[in-house]
Amino acid sequence: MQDATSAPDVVRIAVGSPDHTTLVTALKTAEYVDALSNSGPFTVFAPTNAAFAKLPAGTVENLLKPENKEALRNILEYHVYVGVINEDYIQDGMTLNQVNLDNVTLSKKEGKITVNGNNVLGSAKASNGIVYIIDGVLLPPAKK
Amino acid sequence: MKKLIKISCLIAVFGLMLSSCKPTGPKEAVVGNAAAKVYVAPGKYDEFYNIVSGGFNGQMAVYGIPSGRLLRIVPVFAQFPENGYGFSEETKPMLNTSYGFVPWDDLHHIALSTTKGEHDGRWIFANGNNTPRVARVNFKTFRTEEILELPNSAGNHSSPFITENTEYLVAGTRFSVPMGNNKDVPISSYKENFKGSISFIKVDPQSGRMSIAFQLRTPGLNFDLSRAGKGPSHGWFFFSCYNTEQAYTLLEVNASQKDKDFIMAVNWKKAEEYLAQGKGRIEKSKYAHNVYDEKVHSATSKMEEEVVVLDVSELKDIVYFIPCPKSPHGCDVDPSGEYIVGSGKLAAMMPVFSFSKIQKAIADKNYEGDFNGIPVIKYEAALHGEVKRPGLGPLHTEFDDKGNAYTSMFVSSEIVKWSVKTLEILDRVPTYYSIGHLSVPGGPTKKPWGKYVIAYNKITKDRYLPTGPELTQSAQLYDISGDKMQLLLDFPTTGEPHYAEAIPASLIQPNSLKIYKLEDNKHPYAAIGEKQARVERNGNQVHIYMTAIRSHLTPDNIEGVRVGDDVYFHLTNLEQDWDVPHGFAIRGATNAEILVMPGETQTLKWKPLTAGVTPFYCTDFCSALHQEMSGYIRVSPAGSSTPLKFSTGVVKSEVKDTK
Repeated sequence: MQDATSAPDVVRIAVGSPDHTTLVTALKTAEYVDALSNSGPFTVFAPTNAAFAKLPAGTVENLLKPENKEALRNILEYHVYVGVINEDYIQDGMTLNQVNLDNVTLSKKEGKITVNGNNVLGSAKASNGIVYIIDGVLLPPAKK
Repeated sequence: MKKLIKISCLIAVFGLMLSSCKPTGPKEAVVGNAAAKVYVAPGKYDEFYNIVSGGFNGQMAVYGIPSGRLLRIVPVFAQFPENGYGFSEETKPMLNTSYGFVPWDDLHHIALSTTKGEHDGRWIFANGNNTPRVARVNFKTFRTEEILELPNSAGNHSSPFITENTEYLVAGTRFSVPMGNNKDVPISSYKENFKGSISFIKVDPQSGRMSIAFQLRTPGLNFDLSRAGKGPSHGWFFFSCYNTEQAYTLLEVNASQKDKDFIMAVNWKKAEEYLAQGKGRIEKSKYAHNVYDEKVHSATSKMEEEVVVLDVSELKDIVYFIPCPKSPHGCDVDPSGEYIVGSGKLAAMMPVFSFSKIQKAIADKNYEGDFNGIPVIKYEAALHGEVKRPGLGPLHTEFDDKGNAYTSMFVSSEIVKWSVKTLEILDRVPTYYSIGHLSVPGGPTKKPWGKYVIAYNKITKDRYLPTGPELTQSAQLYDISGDKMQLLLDFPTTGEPHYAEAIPASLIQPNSLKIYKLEDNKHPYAAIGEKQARVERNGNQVHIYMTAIRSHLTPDNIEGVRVGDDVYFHLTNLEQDWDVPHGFAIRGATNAEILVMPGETQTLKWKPLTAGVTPFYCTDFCSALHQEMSGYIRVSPAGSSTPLKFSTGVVKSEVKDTK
């Protein structure tokens, strides 16, 4: 979609951040760019490069392999909620059912927000939602 | 969170780097013989009529498929100055409601009449979403013949879905609201005071005339869409429900809390039994019923006073809930009538329920609990299976003639083809962009014709030449005759398309009316022949019985009208020749023009405000002397004694005041 005038969507916000190159690579590998460029609305938790680096060695490389596309996609979808949860709406203990159908739990204590215990470092409003920058990668719970 | 780092400023810096990460767009979208497949040679006809809702334009539009050519706009809930619908005296009553004259609505869904579960080509039904109404359009004339208002409804979204033999069409309220005698209640008392309402509207099998047979009163929640059962499930109706959280503010967040909402299964045969036993309670409620009578070319509006209500919390066995993941939108029944597809618009999978399993679960009382006294069937007990990871934001499902289903995915902007039997995903194609509804010819019936699926998109962005901030709306045509779907054509639509249906032209074309017969014209102000053309005064009303035939209006000179009069131009088109309408317009008219079909009479009201001579003319180019088809009306000051006169060609003697 050719449109350089409109306010950036969640993908372009990630692309515009030097701290999210790993995430952008993952989005492209999982072919998840188009979906997140559409109307949404989305709440996206965007782990930084440092967050990905905290994963055990080789994890990211492994996930980027073609045969692991589904697993990668599942992880990425665990970072996306359909709907815009602005900071004001976040309540301590709130759960969000993510696109991959698993829940994340938000906490808000003295103005400090975490998601599954990972710190929210900042936020950016996007044309089709909101991006929360987080310092850890959210890993979906093991399937029962 | 004052310490939050706002990174959006980075966008400006890195904006130029974005090209590597754009959506893939239309590359490889159209291949090979697409052009030949949509080319309908000049003078040839399309294979299908596509009846497409216009959303916020309050109209429906008729396209040919496969060409995508726009054939007609049919005004339904919206005034249409192009032909005078809702402006002419004859059609104004069509837009009457209990709130007064409502000249606009939001038309989302259409339903073509069926017999034995198959398209019969008789009527098109449509919903008015905002001021709750349903309408019926006749396929013979492509005109709106009837509009019925819906009391106790607050947003008629879940409508107008029809049963196998068009016994009923339904109208489920999108919003629950307080009902009964005390409606002035705190919004926060939603759980106690707000109720849902579903109208079952009886359709007369001969005339098509609609009447509310009964209303189901339900717990407060939002009804989204629905489908009737068919075949084995005939006698049942299925509705998608969201906001089972019963939220009344910031639904974006608060109505998405639960993992599952409901599909509501309604046994309407059971409801009929209760009705026959007199278990319904009569509630007073005003609602308009407007009918257009072709014999007199005029509509009447009648205010109805009451409805019969069946309370589903008190009357057992009418309604059952089935859990369905995350705000179900579409709720579609496959051609066999056995499978019901729930599309949770926030879910990443789609449950397919089995009608026979639902019946068994009810027989075994296999419930997980109740919701406001209504049994909730165990999810697994009703489930045929799940379509795993179909895409993001599943909305609607249509079916072909080969056992396949086609689901629109709004968030991931694609159509996904899957097997109803095995639930395997067979193919997926992108749509440009953000598809809402989709249509396969005969897709919701027992006998789909297949061949094409048409996507109705919400966003076009870069698909067409830009026209400022407001862009065209669009549809996209895909060939589904092979294993893989193939994009053939983009075509623009008028208004925002929501649901649409396509029907073979062979079922419609032979019945299309060509002219109204003059001898059948019983309009009280018709002038059947120029000899009947005349002007009559009745107090301050002046009635002009005018005729039109190529290429003059009779009378074309009128005098004796006074400032303050109400002047009615009753124009009868004397042509008996297909596709020769005449029109009428007069300077300073504060309403519109009228277009009058051959043999028809329509009336434009005009209130002259100043003395002088005003021209009028035919607006539809009818012959080489169309520009000559005109006349003058002289307006004298109020109280003047200018005699009432009319003539064409020769000046006739003065006419007497009939009052």
